[in-house]
Amino acid sequence: MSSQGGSKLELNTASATVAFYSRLEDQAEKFYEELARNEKYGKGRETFLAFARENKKHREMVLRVYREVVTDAIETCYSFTGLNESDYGVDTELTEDMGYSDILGIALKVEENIRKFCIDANERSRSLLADLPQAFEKVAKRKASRKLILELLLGRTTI
Amino acid sequence: MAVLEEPIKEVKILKNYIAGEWVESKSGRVLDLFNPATCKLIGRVPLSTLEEVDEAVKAAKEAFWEWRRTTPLARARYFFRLKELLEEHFEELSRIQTMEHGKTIDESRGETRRGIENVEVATGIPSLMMGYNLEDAAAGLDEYVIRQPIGVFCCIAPFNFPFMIPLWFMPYAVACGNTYIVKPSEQAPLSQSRLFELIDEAGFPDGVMNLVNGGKEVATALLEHPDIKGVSFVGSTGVGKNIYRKCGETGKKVQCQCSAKNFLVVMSDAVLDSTIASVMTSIYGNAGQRCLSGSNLILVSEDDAFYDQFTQEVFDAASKIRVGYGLDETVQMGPLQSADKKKRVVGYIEKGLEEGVKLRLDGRKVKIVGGYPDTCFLNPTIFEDVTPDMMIGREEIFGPVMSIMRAKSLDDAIEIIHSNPYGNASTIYTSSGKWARQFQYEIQCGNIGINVGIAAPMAFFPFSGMKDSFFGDRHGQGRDAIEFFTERKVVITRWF
Repeated sequence: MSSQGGSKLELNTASATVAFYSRLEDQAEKFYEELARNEKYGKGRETFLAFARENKKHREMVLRVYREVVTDAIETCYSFTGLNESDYGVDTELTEDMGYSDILGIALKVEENIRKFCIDANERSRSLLADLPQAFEKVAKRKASRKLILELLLGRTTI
Repeated sequence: MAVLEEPIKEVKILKNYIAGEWVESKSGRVLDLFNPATCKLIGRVPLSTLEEVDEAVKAAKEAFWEWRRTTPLARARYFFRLKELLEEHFEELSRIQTMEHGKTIDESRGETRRGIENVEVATGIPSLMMGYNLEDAAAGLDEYVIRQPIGVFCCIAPFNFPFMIPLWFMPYAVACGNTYIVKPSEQAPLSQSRLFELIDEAGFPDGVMNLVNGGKEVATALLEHPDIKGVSFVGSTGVGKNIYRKCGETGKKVQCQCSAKNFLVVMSDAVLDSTIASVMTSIYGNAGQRCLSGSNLILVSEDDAFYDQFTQEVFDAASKIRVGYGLDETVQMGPLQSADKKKRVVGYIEKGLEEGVKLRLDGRKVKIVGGYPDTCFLNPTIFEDVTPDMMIGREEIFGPVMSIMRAKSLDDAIEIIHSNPYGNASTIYTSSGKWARQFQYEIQCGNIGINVGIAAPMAFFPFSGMKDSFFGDRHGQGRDAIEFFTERKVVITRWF
């Protein structure tokens, strides 16, 4: 799987922002599914599968919220200055020589990347109806929790 | 970023929907429909005959008695099914609007959502249609009001919100037990045609909802038809006044939502960043083609520093707006709906120059993302030092043009607004509750925004309007719509 982002496109509409977020979640979902399929990383299988399911759930939640609150009366086209796709690129390419701790390191970057994007999108979507920024905030919080779970798997932290 | 997939792949030949059947018009006269961004032919709409109007009215009249006897709950359930279908086809419907009108995909999705919300509200008809009663109105005598449907209603719709506007009326009318005919704008009839395919799929009985394509002749025939009981019109004030008069003569119920010249008042204590974003969407959203668009921006301050800073920020923001095909998600403003509409707006820009106004940003210098033909495109325009008596400060431009005025105080700003004949919408941007309250209290406009640039009422509130912006006494949407589409009977009972 190749890296996401990298382009210099500015996300300047609600549609572009939500579409980009959707691609980030999609990329993460596929990444975790691939990890779950690989026997080499078997001890994290259940976590990876649960993460992949949650990526899908988050994506659907944000898309639903956007569709349900988007109206012609809000600043969908004029409020999203300052978000740039290239700031949210993570390479999720897996190679043969990668060990368990390597892929957990990538997973941590994936989570941090989406968390950061959601925080930024939350800040820049506040002139929309409150639902969409709240949805981004909710996802950002959950990504922070997922980072802790990954740190536990890495043995970097304890409960 | 790639352009989203177009849902219309080949030229669509439109038909009428009468008595539950898709029927070809026999007129032989058609109008070509072009995508205003790409200039590609996307459809052909018939200009139907008077006989076809008559067939639609006949079908609606025949369907009325059985439909009005259908229980409100059963009627509501048809709308639940329609709502499901609209959600399923949400994206397709939105993209069709972008193709036929030019608006951005965000704006089209917003329009679709606003349309669906009216269907949702109409599903509450068993509650909404209830009358009221009083026991012991006199000794041993009870009195109650019942609401009843009236007959065949119609809507004459404009081009600027081709999908949504008929839904301000039709779901309420039909849920109340009336039958209906829509005449969509002949300039943008494609999304309405797709809506009727979904209405057909939802299984409404034949004749309950009908679609007749056409132009002025069809509209006139509907207005003059003796079996049409009421008319909802959205369009220009000139036409609206005429329709209002005609309906008065023939005893039809009527509601005409008409032209506008909307003012945005910015006080010196407004929150700058949010205000700029809101002003941008108000004036340039939908390329300025909406009756709630801001047009005149009044900056209230004697402080030159505030004026200079605000106008500079507005200039910077407007200069950065990405103009292009609305199916490109990075595009913030689409084209005007047609070359004629662009020509009209350019005419106003030229008039402004003749009137000696300072042209701060010239939208005629077109810069388009994606290399599309400039036939219908304009970039944002800003005029400064506009006065209320100038043509560009007085008349509805219906394009992406901002006219900046100055006022010394809120009182002065309100006086300027009141000097204009229209009363559709006005907005104040301020952090002061006192100023906001004074504005709300005094302003003679139907839709008022407080830090909201497009004061578009949600479906459960009436879409208001005053002065030359509205003719009638009941608006579209919400409870007003229920009032409009029903007659009230008073029953007085005494039992011996």
